[in-house]
Amino acid sequence: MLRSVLLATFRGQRRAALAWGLALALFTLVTMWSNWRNEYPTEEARQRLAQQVESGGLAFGQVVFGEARQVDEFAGHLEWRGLGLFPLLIGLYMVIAATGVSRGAEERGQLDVLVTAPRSRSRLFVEQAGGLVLALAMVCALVWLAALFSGPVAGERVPPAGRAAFSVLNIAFVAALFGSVGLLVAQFVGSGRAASMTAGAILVTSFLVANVGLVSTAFEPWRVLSPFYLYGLSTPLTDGHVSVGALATSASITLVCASSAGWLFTRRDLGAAVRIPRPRMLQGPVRSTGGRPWLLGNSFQRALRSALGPTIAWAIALGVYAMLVTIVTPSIRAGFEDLPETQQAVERLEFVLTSDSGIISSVLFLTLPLLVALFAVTLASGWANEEQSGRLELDLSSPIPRRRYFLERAGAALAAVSGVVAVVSLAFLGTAWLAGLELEWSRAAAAALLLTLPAGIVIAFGYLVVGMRVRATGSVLAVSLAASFMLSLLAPALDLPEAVRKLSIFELYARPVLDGIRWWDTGTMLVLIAVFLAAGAAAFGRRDILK
Amino acid sequence: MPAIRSFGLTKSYGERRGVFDLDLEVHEGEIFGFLGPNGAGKTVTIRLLLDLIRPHAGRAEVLGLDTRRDAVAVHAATGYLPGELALEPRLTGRQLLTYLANLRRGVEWSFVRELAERLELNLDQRFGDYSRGNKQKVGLIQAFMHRPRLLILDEPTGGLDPLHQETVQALVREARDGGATVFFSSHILSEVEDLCARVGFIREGRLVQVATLSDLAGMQAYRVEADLAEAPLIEALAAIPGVSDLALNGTTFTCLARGDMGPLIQALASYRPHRLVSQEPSLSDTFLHLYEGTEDRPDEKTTPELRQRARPQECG
Repeated sequence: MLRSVLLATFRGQRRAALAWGLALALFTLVTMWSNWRNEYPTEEARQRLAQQVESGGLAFGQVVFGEARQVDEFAGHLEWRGLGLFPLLIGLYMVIAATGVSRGAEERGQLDVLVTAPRSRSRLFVEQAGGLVLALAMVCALVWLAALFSGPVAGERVPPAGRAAFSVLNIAFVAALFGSVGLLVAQFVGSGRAASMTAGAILVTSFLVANVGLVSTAFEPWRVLSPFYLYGLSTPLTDGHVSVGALATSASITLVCASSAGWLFTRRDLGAAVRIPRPRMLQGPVRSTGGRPWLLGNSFQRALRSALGPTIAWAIALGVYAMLVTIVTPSIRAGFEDLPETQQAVERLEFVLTSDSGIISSVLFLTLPLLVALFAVTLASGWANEEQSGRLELDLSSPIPRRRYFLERAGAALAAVSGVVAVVSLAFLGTAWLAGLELEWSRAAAAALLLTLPAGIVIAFGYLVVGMRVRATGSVLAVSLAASFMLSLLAPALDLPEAVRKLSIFELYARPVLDGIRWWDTGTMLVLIAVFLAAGAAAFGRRDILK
Repeated sequence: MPAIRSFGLTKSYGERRGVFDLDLEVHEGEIFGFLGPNGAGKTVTIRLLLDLIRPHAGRAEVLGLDTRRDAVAVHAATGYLPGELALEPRLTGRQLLTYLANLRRGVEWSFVRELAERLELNLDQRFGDYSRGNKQKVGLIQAFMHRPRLLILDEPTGGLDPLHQETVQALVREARDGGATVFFSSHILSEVEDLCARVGFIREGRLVQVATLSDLAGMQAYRVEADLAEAPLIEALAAIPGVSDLALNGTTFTCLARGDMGPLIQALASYRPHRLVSQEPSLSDTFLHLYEGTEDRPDEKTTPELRQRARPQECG
């Protein structure tokens, strides 16, 4: 595995690729089992779903999973609900992997030795890209297997292997495209994290433009600009249609981005970013490269300063998302008004789609707690990298008690989450007011502000893991959060008892838009945050600092 | 009161990795050199003294304070330069030093400026854009800036050019003259010879020797080289007590000699030497011989004398 840069790159990615592949495969299997077998178990229920799609009633489902076609047939349902989110998720994996392999490795100094080996920089770049393609193939192979097995799992026959392969290939083309975008962005941005965030923002924007365009006429003309539009042109599983033109266009964009990235990589200084010349009129006065030493007074401020960039990015992205969903709420409600049977079916799953507040609760405040919690995961898991790279060495040899340092850092993460929640709350409430939604405003405001609590639990739990086994923080948090969300999602269909449901932070958060604040659950969340932080601080005070 | 004292300090990462049963004493106001090959346990020792990691057995005191119980007070009195300096690359030198000064309180910024001037460091560059030597200067400034009573420096001159190495040595001497204790690990033996009153050698996690430089030189074998009129009888010379590592190249004879040289000189006289040279051992020779037989020097074997000497001894 270390015979070439290609294999070494793949080796570096193999664990992450395996984890992503297995998680996505599990998602497909669980989704098809719960959705096809339990949610729509009869021909009648499936036809009602298809009618709902035709009447435009599944607006949010299409924003998340893409265009729904022939959803009353297993293959069509699989391509929509089982695989529809994967161009975004595997695209995200490729963005993280590509920026990590290129700019991330450069930032860590790993390329210094590689570029001095007797091989050209262009070959090094091509081999790294090849390693990424192998990793993508591994993820896709696992997804393909899951697609095949989802048939028997959902009580159906195995879908045609060839069509399933083309469907996964269609996903792979989009994911590869965003991987190449990641490689290109990495040439212009000086840090791995900034590169992955920039490329990630392009990915999410493209996704939203393409999918919101399915349900909003305002966005429809812009859909063609998004690579996800190209993905939607092929529906191999649904009806065997493969758009060769779309695949060729996707591949061409990938090649152009990747070769541009390679060309820039061979010409620029190692460790430096390509400078984009600014027009003279935009150039400001010459400044010292040193910034003002603000937010450096203590470790709380310093951690807050580090989190500032990601906080602003997440606040903007989630604020835009909240505004979009709020804008499409009236069209979702209109789509369901004429479908009383569908309303009943959906209500069994504890979704309410007959009122503005019901839709906001069932759609926006189903996903926002997860998204804010994901931001919390990125904040908490960043500690491991910092500690392992030795960046905490000097902080922790300063005359500050370890527990205070730990709590100041956790406090900064909580403050960053609160900042994101504040922006999202303003975006949601302002848009809802302008759109004239009929909401109980005190409950709506409470729902928005209470988003801080599940994310706060994630941070506190993450810091508890930091205090005990820092290396495991990222994986433990990701698995716990996924399990918590799946538990909340499947609980109504599985009719789980209340005590089990309350193990999920999303069940503790519940439905404040509809039901108001449940003080007992809110208190429980606050107590959990306090307990996790106290236990984490105590554990951190006892353990060795990694290096 | 010793500046540093450890009692059976042990931190194990496996059979030969870590620090084992370390009894160390560093006097207040001295410059103490801490030497050892890669992976010998130097950094583990330093991190134990700073309470960054916790011992499996034993304990340590810094300036009379328990390193675990009084960690904050120890940190307040200590300036530390890690062997591998990692700091936020996006912040400038000034921002990093401001932050670290704020964590410590009571740092005179005029002294920071003075240190930066002496080390010729531009504080307004981002840390990520600094050269290796300039990064090291940031680390040195933050270690010295609060005028600590104890300086713990891990490879302080790594990456610096000779001119700035001299500046650092001057800073270390000034700190010592001001009453501070300096504990530093280094591989630059000439630097240790120039600066240190005493040195400690660590190998495979065990302290093998603590001695003054003059003590070490006295214990070390002298290299003897003689051009003789005729080839000597090697077996006879090898039988002389204290003589080892004998070699004969034509009529040129070399060996190592410890202790009384009289019998060796008498024996060589019978072969009518044209030239006889005896070289005083350097710290480098001592260093290399103390590490004979370690993984770093697989070709050499530990001599019985050195094995004898490798036993932990009372600090001299």
